[in-house]
Amino acid sequence: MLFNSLEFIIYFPIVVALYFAITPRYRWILLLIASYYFYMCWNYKYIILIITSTLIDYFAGIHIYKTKTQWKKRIFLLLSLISNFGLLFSFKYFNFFGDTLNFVFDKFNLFYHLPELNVLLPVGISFYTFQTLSYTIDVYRGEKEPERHFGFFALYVSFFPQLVAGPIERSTRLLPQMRQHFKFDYERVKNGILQMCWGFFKKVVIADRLAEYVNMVYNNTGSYDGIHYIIATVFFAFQIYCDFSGYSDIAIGTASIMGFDLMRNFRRPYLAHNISEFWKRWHISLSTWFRDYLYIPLGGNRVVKWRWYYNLFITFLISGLWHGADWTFIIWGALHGFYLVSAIWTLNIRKKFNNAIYGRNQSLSNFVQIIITVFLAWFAWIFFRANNIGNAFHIINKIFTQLFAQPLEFYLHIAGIAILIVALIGLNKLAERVKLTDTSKNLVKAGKWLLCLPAAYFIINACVIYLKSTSIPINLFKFKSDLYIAIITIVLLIIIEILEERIQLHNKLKYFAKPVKWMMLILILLSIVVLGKWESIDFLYFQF
Amino acid sequence: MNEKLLKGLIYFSGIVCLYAFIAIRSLPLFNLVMNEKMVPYYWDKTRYGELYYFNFIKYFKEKGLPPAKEKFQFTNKQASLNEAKIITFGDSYFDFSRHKQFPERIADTLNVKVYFYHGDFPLVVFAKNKFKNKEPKILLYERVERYIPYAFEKENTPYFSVDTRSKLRKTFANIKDDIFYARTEELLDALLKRSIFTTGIYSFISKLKFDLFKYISPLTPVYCLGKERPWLFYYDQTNGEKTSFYYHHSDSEMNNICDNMADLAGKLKKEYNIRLIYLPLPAKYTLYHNVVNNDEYNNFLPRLYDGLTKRGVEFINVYEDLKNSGDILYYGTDGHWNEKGIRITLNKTLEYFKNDSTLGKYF
Repeated sequence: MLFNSLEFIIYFPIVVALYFAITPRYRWILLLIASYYFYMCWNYKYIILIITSTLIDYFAGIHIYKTKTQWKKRIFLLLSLISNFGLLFSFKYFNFFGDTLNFVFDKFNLFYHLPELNVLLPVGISFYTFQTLSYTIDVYRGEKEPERHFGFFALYVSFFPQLVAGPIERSTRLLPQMRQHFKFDYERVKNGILQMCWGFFKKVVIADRLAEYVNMVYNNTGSYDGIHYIIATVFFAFQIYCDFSGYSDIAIGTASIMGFDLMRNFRRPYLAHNISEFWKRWHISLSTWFRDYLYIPLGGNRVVKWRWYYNLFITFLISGLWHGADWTFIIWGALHGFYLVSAIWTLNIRKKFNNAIYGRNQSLSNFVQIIITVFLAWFAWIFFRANNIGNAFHIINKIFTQLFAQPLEFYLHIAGIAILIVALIGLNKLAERVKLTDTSKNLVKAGKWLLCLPAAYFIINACVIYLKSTSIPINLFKFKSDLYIAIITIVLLIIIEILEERIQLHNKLKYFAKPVKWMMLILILLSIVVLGKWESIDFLYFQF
Repeated sequence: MNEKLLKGLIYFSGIVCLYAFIAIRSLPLFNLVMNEKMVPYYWDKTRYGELYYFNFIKYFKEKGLPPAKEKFQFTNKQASLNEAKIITFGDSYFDFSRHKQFPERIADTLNVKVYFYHGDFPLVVFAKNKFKNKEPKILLYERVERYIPYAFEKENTPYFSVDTRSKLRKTFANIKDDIFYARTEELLDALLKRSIFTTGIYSFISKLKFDLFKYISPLTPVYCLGKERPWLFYYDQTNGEKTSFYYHHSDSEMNNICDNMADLAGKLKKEYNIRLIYLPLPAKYTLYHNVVNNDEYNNFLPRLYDGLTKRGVEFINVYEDLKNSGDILYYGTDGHWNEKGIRITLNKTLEYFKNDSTLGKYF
């Protein structure tokens, strides 16, 4: 069942009404049935996988705890690991590794072909297997006592708000909540509904709208110019963010209405200052999972340098593979691993460079860092979204070829921008070194703004020249107005994210007058209804 | 106060949703809240033109469609395969419920027993019904042009799969189907758009979206708000697929279609003593695309006629008659023909029967 389907819109109020109507003691039964129903609506047969995973980890957890000898504990842990990874491997990775091995066999003239498994990828398998794995590992480490109540444990594995696309919850957080008897809490329910609305807005108004353009360009590689690939990549960056964070918001809001507190999965990732910070803000439940169960057990950063780099790189490589059984995802993960390793290598140089260029002007330095991080993350998305590696390289090639094939006028504008930036930095440096009177300080400030004006002019002009260099229309949307709506909603999202980052917008909203708050809610609801794309487009992260 | 109100709202919406959840599984409860009732075999959603119902934008509401009639296929006038002198196969043009249906007209005009089957693959239908025939019969096989490429993409064979599941497994499957109802989304969508409580709101929002952003259903992407009437065209006639006005069928594709049509005619003659007469109909966009553009027709029907003539396959050519009639023969916001369109085709069919002296022995 999709969150953005009528089926869910009917299903959820029924579950919530029943949840608050029945006695708290039996709520877990309702939620378990509801969760299994939620999953079975997609494919009823695959519930057997969730039940298998639940049974194995339930008993593994108890036996790990009961057993006194370390090697026996290890055996039960191994049983859990092998069965969960076995499920994941069979359904998600078998064909990928089979194809790769077949390719290698062919290269060496070995005429042996591994068979192909004709199975449907179970929705959310990567999420619930990782969630149950974290439980058995925690029990093994002695960080958690095993759950004896099978019903609570089964609900922990299959809890419908986060079953198919996370957040990947830890047993230490979610399992204790299964035992709690939540009362109807007005504030919590209200905030849950608001968070769901915001999630729906991101999903159906922004992500699904952008999907049309992105799919058109990325599924027809070879038919468009560099500018289309740039626009499609930028759109994809926002599509995947709004799609996945939208899902998380709906999941968290849904759970919150019923009293459950799910972990935050996104924290404005495109405002990160470096890639390391980006991963502290993007899919937090997964990155912390990899940190706690892979990176730290490998030794983390408390090892020799080369080993640290290896640990980082391998963690991101596997994170890439987690996202999908394809080389494009592996390259995407490797690229992020490379970013992080090179960030450590170049840390001192970058520090010196930053000091030399920006001096005490921290805001300019922050701004440039955000821009670079965004550029790196967006560049990596090309591999993530491309249908295959060949397409990804074709897209990159097209982007740069068109960039280098511009008329002289374009480069003159770029040179103009560069000169203005140098002048701006020079002015900054001068202001730092020379003691200035208040009047001179104001003059310098005015000078900076004056330099910004021609810079903006050059940037806009360069963009216009670049846009004109294609004969294919830029607006590929079926309904032309969608391009403008897409741009406006992206700008709105950026403004909201900046305000949230700087002034904690959601806290400020509390002090707004009631009519203003109501108006904002009505506006969001109206835009969901009027601007939303309600064609039940799958959430991107379902495929992982 | 706020808390009580919110809690009340949650319980209220829970009850409403529970009703919807049950209603899509129970026809009486479903019809209780619907503007237009669903009958067991089909949707009666053509009061304002079936294409209007994809949008609910009032500008595309076509008025003046006659009220729905009971379908010939489900009346006692429908003869059995054995009794019938004329067997008819066809799509929704033949049993368009807003007019007296084509097979019924043939039965009444010629005063013969007529069997109608909505769909394709006569050999499969005959095999399923264990139909064995010796006496001469006619099979009038209607298909609108957009369906022909798929209906005759492969050779027609009498093979079909038989459900060999045990009774217990079938019961289990039925229970499963009731719980995880496959048509949930479709029927909830119908409830949202057409229930007495929501249709007004839905229609208002659709109109607003059209006025502001020109949003229209992807199922009817080509439209025209003409002075005399609005026009909507179904997407499969206007996209790049095989069903479309724009798709250029290669010679080998055309030959394949014609070969399979000829093959079917041969098999029916040999195995059932049935004389097959095709009635290919032009799609709405083929006849009326000029209300939105002057694009060139892919000439599917003339090429099909040529191919069938070369193979000695019988067919009734109504394309030219419909095209040159000078009247509007199809509804603007429905995919089907109107009374005039039906009459022209019926007259042409009767004329065909009349002009062929060898047809006498069939009825």
